[in-house]
Amino acid sequence: MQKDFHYYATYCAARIAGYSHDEGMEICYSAQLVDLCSRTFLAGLKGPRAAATTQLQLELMDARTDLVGLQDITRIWASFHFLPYNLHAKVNHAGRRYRSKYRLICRPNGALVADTVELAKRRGTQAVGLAMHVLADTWAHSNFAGTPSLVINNTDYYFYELRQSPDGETERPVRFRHNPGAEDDLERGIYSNSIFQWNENSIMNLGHGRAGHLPDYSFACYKYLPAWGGYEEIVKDNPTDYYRAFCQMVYAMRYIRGSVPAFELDSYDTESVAPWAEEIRSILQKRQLDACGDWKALGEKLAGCALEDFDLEKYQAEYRAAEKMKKDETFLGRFFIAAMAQKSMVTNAIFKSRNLLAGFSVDYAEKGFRGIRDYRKLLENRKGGGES
Amino acid sequence: MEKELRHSRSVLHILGTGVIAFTLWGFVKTIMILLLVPVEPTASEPASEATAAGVAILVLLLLLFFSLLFGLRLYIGMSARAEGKGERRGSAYVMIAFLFSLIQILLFILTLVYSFKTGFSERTVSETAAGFIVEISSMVTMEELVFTAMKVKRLTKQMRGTE
Repeated sequence: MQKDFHYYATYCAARIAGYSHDEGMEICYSAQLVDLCSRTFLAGLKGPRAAATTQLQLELMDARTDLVGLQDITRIWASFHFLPYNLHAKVNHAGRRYRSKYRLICRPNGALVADTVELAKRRGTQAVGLAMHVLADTWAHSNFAGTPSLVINNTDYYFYELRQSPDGETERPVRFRHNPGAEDDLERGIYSNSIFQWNENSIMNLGHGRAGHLPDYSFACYKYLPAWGGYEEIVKDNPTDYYRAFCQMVYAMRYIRGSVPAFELDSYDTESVAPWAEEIRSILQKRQLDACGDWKALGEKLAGCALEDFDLEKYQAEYRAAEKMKKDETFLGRFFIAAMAQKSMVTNAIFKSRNLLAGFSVDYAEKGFRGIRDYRKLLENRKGGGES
Repeated sequence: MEKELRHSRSVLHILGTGVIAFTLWGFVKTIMILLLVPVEPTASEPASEATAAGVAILVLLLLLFFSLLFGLRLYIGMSARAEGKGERRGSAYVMIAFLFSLIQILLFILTLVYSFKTGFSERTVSETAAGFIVEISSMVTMEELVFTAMKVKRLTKQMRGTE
């Protein structure tokens, strides 16, 4: 998903769920920050590298794709953008390597979504925002995996955009080209995607790169053959999925606030969203590369005041100025803790399912601290009562 | 059935690409033989004008023949690729491919028999083995293309019948 949904739509969902304007702004800021908190960003702040929630294109270009490099990439992308649906999925006639990758395929309403929401419940708005980003991405990024893999994430020439016309539903072949500098041409159906690479573990085969930005466009309806699908056709209806994502975010945030007793998978708060359903659906179905304007307008209607645009530097001065011992109490400090907790939870779940694609994971509370120094913060945070 | 059709089309697309690749390789090989293999003069009499003209006509005919051969193979490969992508194609390319595969098998058997009869010299064993491997691959690709194309046409007809 893009900024229009992660920032403005998340704000709208937070307000509908009952959060105040200030809380809503913190939540949506954190949700959008997940797409920008790279190691480069953290290095500028002298923040913990382990809190990286994304990798920039330039970082990916330099990323190693040996075993350690792949594990590092998988940890980030599977934890925040392609949350695995079923880590114990059964695969017929497949070796261990393929099975491990297959089990990282992202879909909504997996067990890890519930764990993600639960993890955010006793933390601040930063954790809530992070959780909403992860939840929303499970809808947009369905059927792709957060690990570089040709046999899972590849697509081919069988890729058609489905459009409603007066004559009924029409199919138009999608033409892909590798031209990141050019905008996607919605009128002619020409979209940018990553270059085809024979190498199984090439960065080009990470996530939904082979499908371009189509999964991130709320208006897109398309069908294609995923590499893992055995020639089964997948039809992706983004307007419907994005609406469900929105309703599920409202439901999740109501649970986190305590308005709902339990978070159940496959549950959507359509009732609370109903007064704005028509407006939301029209935004989702409108063919445009960027829906920020429309979502912002809806957000301002809900807020009754103007919404400030996303500013990456907003909280940086606070973090830089804070003393070393107090950094974790700043806005960004809390976000970093939430990010490390999320990454730790997902990596541990993947490891416990006997899948080494995200590397080793140590239960430091039981076995004593080992491994990456940054994660001491989580242990200290837990001991200090950061979470109950 | 749709899934099977998509699978078969994908296979047909790949086989068409394979036929084109083998065709291009055959073209390169032919050019290299013509250019690099020395032709030793065997005639004891000086060549007359008539002989030279005859040779020229022969060479021209050979070139035409090879052009036809490669052209037909390219047509088969490109038609298979197009049908693999879902475009409608007639059966002409399938019939030509079937003829090609029969001739290929026949020629391969004859070459094998001739090689065993004349014996293999040390120098040519590896060359012959490599040549055989390429020929077998090309044959198998052409035959698979015929079978897969027929399967695609059958499935497409069944799908249209059920719609």
